[in-house]
Amino acid sequence: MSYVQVVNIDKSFQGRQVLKGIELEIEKGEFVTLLGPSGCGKTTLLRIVAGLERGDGGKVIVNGREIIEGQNKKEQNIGMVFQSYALFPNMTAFENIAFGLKIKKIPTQDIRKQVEEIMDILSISGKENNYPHQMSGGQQQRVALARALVVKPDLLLLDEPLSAVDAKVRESARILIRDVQKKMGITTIFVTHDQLEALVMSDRIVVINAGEVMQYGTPEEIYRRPANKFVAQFIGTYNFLPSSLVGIGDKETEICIRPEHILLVSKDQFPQIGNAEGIKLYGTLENFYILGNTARAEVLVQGRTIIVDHLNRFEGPKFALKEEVGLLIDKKVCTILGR
Amino acid sequence: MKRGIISKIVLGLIFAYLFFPIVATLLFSVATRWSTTILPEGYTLSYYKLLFSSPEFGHALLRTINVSFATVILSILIIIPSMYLAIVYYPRLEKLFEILSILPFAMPGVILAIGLIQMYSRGPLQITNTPWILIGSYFVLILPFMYQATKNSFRTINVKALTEAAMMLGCGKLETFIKIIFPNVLRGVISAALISVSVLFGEFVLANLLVGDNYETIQIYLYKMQKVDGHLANALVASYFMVILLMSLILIWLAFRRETEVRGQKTEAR
Amino acid sequence: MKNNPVTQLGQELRRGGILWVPFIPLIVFALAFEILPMGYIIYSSIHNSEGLNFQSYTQIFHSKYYVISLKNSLLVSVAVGIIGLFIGTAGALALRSVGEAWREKLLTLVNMTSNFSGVPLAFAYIVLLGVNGLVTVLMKEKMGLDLYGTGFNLFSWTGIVLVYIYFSVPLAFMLMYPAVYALRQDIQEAAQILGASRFHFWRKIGLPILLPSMLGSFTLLFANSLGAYATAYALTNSNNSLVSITIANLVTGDIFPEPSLASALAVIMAGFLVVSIIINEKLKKQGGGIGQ
Repeated sequence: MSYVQVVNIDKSFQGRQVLKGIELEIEKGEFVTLLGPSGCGKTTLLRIVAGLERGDGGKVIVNGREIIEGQNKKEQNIGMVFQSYALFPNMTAFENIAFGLKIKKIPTQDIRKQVEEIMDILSISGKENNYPHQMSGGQQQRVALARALVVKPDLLLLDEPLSAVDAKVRESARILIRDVQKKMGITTIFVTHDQLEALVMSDRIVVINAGEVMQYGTPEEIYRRPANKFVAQFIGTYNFLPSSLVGIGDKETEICIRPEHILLVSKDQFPQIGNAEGIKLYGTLENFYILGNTARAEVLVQGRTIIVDHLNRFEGPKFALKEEVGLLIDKKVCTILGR
Repeated sequence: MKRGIISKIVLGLIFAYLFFPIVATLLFSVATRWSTTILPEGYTLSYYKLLFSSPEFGHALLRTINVSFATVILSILIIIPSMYLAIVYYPRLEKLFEILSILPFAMPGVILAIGLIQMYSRGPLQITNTPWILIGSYFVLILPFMYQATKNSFRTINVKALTEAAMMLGCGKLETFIKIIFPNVLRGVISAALISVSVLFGEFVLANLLVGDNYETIQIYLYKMQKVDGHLANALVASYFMVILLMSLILIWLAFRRETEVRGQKTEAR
Repeated sequence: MKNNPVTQLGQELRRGGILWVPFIPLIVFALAFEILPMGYIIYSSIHNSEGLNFQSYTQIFHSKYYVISLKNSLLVSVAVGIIGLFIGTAGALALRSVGEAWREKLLTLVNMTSNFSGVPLAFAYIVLLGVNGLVTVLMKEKMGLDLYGTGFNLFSWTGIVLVYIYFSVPLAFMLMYPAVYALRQDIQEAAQILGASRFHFWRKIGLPILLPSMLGSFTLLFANSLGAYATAYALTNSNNSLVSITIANLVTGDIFPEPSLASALAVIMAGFLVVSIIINEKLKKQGGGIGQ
């Protein structure tokens, strides 16, 4: 039996179905991300797991205990970090973090010890007596995390906790959350609409769209082998090509290829490289621009634009616009999408 | 440039117009003799001494304080918890507050008094001419102010998220209200209470029509005084205005503190 | 069907358990001191010793006295509303010429003076402009101007209008300030760059933007004056025929009380108030009204 089981959850709001028969199993110690566009139902699912919302059907079991909405959550032992952090404005950082322990009637000196320990782990020691409004966004976020972690929850729920901080803080926070989660071995469900965040942090990702699970797998699987066109379109950039163009699959299917899996070569070199297994296409270079550490070329092949990415090396190949170029594609990087 | 000067003249005139009666009242209250000169001929605090040593004044003030404080405390006890519950559990009941606080605009004191006199002068609940009817009607009178001020302070905190955060940490519903919600809206509640008290200190219509001489409030005392002793009444008006001034200053201070905190939070979060 | 507000409220109530209990005292107080009195006034206005009828209403409209008191009140309220709005708007507009730090301070001062109404205000005016008031005497002594000789009388209509304007100005100022503030500098600059003159700007842009708020403010000033009682009562010892005074006299007065008549007059007056509230609410929905 899995540590967390989500069984056939349905949910409607005012006649609109937001979750349709969601099934999910999460193992102990796993970091699972619910990823999807806004309004896909991921937050609602998280809130049902938290017991803050009631599903129309189905059930949620955490560590062998069914989660019931409206029940006193003392027994439930689920930690949650809210999008707005929901720090208690009238309490200092210390009081915020200690709150859950106080409710559990833990002796005062133990509370002090545990709070100091978690504040040390999250590098917010010294902020004990600061009120939320006296802290930066990043610090508030850590206090919220500490408040949820200090009670050693069976399950930690994170509702887009990184969306309110700026890019720099977000990047370091990703790694911090991930590290602490691994160190403490706390089973975690993380909600985000940011694919990069999901790929970086998760053991497994649940891609959700319109209230349905699109794919459930490791970041590797999700990125390399999208189960359907939605996942392919949602994560990263993909070229979608008709099977006739590349010559694999049957007429009904569509082939998708990552831009970085295509090799851009000059026309003269083209005949000499690649093996017989490779697919070779000719096209004209329509556009070329630099994204940073990668560079992107748009190549027009038989009336279709194919995007090709390559590392932006110091001495990379130089092409002129409208030049005829060759594209080399290995067959094994092609994903065939069913209709 | 020309426009700036015209604007400042207009402002100056309006402020002079608004403050002339106030300043004159204050000066008159400390004037020994003041009739044919621009400024008083001499100054004295004797009217205040006389006023504050008058037992009738003391009693009237005490009555007004009793009734206003009782009403405001009652109103806080009733409105704050139910508004919290409406926001978190019964969002549809929020409409109720809106309706209840817009009705008094259609029913100013005179109209309300007509209804109350007819309802409570006979029958099982004869409470006209007692302070009880004042407490009841004052409750309705200050409802819009209480609602507006507390709604604003509920708005500045994320009530629902705070409740859920407390719940997730195992906090019970009553405990959440007492430990988390109430301390965070306290400042708004204090503002609401101050506004309400200053409204009630100036209330005359209901007091005059519903209880009159049977429970002489400060405003009724002032009304009577005005015919007997102008200087004493004037000292009372001046004191009343100073109380209002004090309350306004506290309100400004409260608002200012909240603003700097909110501002601090925003810039820090960036 | 599921979107019906009543069924939704039902769902909320079921989910909340016994949490509706704290609403009971609120509802009891609102019923006892707000809703039921309102219902009672309506009932009493169509009910007298002879049973249910509209006699009170017909009596009011056939009596010169009551019609005049209604007319007086409406005239005073409209006049006070217009003058108060004019001064208040001018003040709010002029406030734009002051720096931000000062603006806030001046606004709180204005707000403070809005507390100055009722009996204390009437008294302050009596001290200033009464027969032996400071200003009256000073004018006579220093300028040789006999104010009361010119027909001015604080204890008559001129006095009532004068004092009502005083308490309307801060209100109008506070009500108009947000609307005027919304008329930002950049709008004016945009118009200027497009070649509009100042007059053109105000006629085509400024006034149309301010107009709904002005109308909204006017309805509130109107309602405020119509319902006012204390100021007029203190000024004229209830010897005037404003409708609020007339109503009060009908239940407490020296003549024997006529509750049904008072109620009918109150209903008519409430009618005017309701109309002005509805106008303001309508304006508010369009983004121009005033209030909460």
